[in-house]
Amino acid sequence: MSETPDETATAGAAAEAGAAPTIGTAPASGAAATTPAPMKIDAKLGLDVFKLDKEPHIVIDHEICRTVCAKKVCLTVCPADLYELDDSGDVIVNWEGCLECGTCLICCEPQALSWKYPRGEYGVQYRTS
Amino acid sequence: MEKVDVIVVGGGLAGLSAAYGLAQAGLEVMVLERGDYPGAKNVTGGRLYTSVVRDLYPELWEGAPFERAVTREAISMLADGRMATFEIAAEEFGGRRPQSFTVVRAKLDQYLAERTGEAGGMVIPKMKVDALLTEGGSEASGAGGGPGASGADGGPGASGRVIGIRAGEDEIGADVVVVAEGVLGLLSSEAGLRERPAAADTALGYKEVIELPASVIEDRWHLNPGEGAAQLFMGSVTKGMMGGAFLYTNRESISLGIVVGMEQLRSRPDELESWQLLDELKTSPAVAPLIKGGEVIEYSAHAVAEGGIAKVPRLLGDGYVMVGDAAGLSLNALITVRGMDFAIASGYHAAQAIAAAKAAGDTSAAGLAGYERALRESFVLKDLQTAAKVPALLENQRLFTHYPEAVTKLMADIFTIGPGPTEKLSKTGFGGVRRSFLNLATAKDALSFRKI
Ligand SMILES: Cc1cc2nc3c(=O)[nH]c(=O)nc-3n(C[C@H](O)[C@H](O)[C@H](O)COP(=O)(O)OP(=O)(O)OC[C@H]3O[C@@H](n4cnc5c(N)ncnc54)[C@H](O)[C@@H]3O)c2cc1C
Ligand code: SF4
Ligand code: SF4
Repeated sequence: MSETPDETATAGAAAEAGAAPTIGTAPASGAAATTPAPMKIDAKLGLDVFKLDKEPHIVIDHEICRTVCAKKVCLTVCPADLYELDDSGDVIVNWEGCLECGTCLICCEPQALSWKYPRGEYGVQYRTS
Repeated sequence: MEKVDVIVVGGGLAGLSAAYGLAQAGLEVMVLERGDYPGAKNVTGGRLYTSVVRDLYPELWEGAPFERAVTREAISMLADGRMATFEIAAEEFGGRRPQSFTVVRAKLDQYLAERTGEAGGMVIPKMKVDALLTEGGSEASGAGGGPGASGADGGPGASGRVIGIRAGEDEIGADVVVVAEGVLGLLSSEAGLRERPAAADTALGYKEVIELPASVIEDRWHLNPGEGAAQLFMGSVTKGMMGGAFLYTNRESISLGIVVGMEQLRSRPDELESWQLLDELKTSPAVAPLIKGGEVIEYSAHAVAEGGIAKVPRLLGDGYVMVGDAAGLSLNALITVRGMDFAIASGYHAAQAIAAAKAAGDTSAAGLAGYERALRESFVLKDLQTAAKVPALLENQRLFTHYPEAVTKLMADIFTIGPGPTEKLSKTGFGGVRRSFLNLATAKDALSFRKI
C-alpha cells in the first residue's frame, strides 16, 4: 500500500471523471501540486504529550501470536502504527507511543494481549482533543 | 476501610456530570480520574448537542468553554475523485440558544471538574482505579442482559453488591459506585457487570487537531465571528468500510478525523493501515484546500461505542450505576456520533436517583431503580430505541460505496460539458437516477431506511 496518492493518480482520477478539456490550467491540479506530503505518523505522535512509565502497559503473549494467530491484525489496525515484527519475526509493540484507544485489545481475536491502562498520571495526556 | 457516600470511577463528562449533581445534593462524592487532569485521556469529534442537556444544570452552560456554535452543517460524498457536498446554514441552528457547540475535551472536562469542586465534590486526578470491590469478592454474572434486564429487585443473575474500589494498595468503600470509566469498560467487565466490547460493536475514532487562525476558519467555511461548521464525509474515505470522516471548526483550530468500524477494519483482506485513511483524505484535491496552511498540533485516538440499545448492559445493581460510554450510551446516527449529550444526561439522572436512594436509605438495585426509569423517560433511551435499527443498517456496504458513487457521478454528469454534443439535462438527470437509484437493491435499502 503506497502511503500517498501521488499526483498522477489524482490527475488520472480527474480525467476519468470526465474533467474539462485541456485549454488553460486546471486550478484543481495546481492546488494538488502544492499539497505537502502527509506527516509521518512518528511526527504526529511527536506532537503529543506522553509521560513514560517504566513498565509497559501492553504485554504480548508471543506464543499465542506464533501458534494461534491466523491474521496479525495488530500490524494494521493501530492508529499510531505501533506494532511491528522484530528480526526474529515476532510481533512487538512500541507501547511508549500508545494513544490508549484499545483498538488492538478489541481486534486481537486470540487474546494475546494483556492490556491495562498505564498507571495513574502516566501515558498520553491530551491537551486539545 | 475508609468510606464515602459515592465514588465516581472516571472523570469524563458522564462521571463529572454525576459528581456535580451529587455534590449539589450535599453528598460526599469523590471522583477518581487516571489522567493528569480531567480530559487528559479523552477524545471526541466533537460537537455537543446542548439542545438536549441545556435544561439539566442550566447554570452550567452559560460560562462553559465552548468553541463555536454550529450554524452550518455539510455532508460531503466522496467517490472516484469527486466530492458532492450538501450544505445547510439555518438561523435556528444558532441564535441565542444554539442547538450545538464544538468542544475540546481537555477544556470542557476541566471546567466541569472545577464546578464540581466548587459545589463541594472532590476530584482527584492522577489516580487510576484498579478494581471494583464486590461483596464477598464474588464475581457477578449479570452482564449483557440489556437495559430491560435490570429488574428493580436486581433481577436474576444480579451481581454481588459493589461496595467500593481498590486503587493500588488503597481500598475505599462507598454506598454507591458510579461506573463512568468509558467505552472499554475494563473494570466493569472484570467485575462481571458488563461484557467486554466486541469489534462488531465498536469503532476506532482518531483525529488531528489542526491550528488555523479564526479569520481563516470563518472565511473558509463562510461563518460569522464565533459561529462554527460541521462537515461530514462519507464514501471512498473509508474504502467501503462502515464509517466516515468528520471536520469540526473550533475557535482557532479544526478537528479532522475518521471513524471506522473495527470489525471491518480487522477483516480487510488487504494491508491497509487504519491511520492511512486520514492522510489520504487530507491529501485529496477536494479536501487539501480546506486545511491549507494549517499546522497539526495534536493526534489522538479513542474507541467509539456503536452497539446501540441492544448492547446496553444492566444499568444498575446493588450499590452501583453505569453511566455514559461505560453503559454503551452512544449513538452512531449514520455518520455523526452522539455520546457526550448522553454522558451528561445519564450522569445527571444517576445523581438524582442516587440522592433519592440515599435519602430513602436504600442503595440496593431497588433503591436505585429510579435511574433507569428516568433514562427511559428521557431522550437517552428513547433516542437509542428509535435508532435501534441503525447498527444493522450501517453494515450495508452500499451506503459507503454505491450511494456516494452514484450521487457524485450524477452531479458530475450534470455539470460536465464534454467535447461532444451535450445531452438534455433532463435526460442526464433521469438516466442517472434510474440507473443508480431505481433498482432492486436500492429499493430494499429504501425500505430499511424507513425503519430508522
Ligand atoms: C473520534 C470520536 C468522535 C466523537 N464525536 C462525537 C461528537 O461529535 N459528539 C458526541 O456527542 N459524541 C462524540 N463521540 C462520543 C463521545 O466522545 C463519548 O460518548 C463521550 O466522550 C463519553 O463520555 P464518558 O464520560 O462516558 O467517557 P469518557 O469521556 O471516555 O470518560 C471516561 C473517563 O474515565 C477515566 N477512567 C477510565 N478508567 C479509569 C480507571 N480505571 N481509573 C480512573 N479513571 C479511569 C478516563 O480517563 C476518562 O476520563 C465521539 C467519540 C470519538 C472517539
Ligand atoms: S493480532 Fe494478536 S495474536 Fe495476532 S499477532 Fe497481533 S497480538 Fe499476536
Ligand atoms: S491501544 Fe491503540 S494506540 Fe495503543 S497500541 Fe493499541 S491500537 Fe495502538
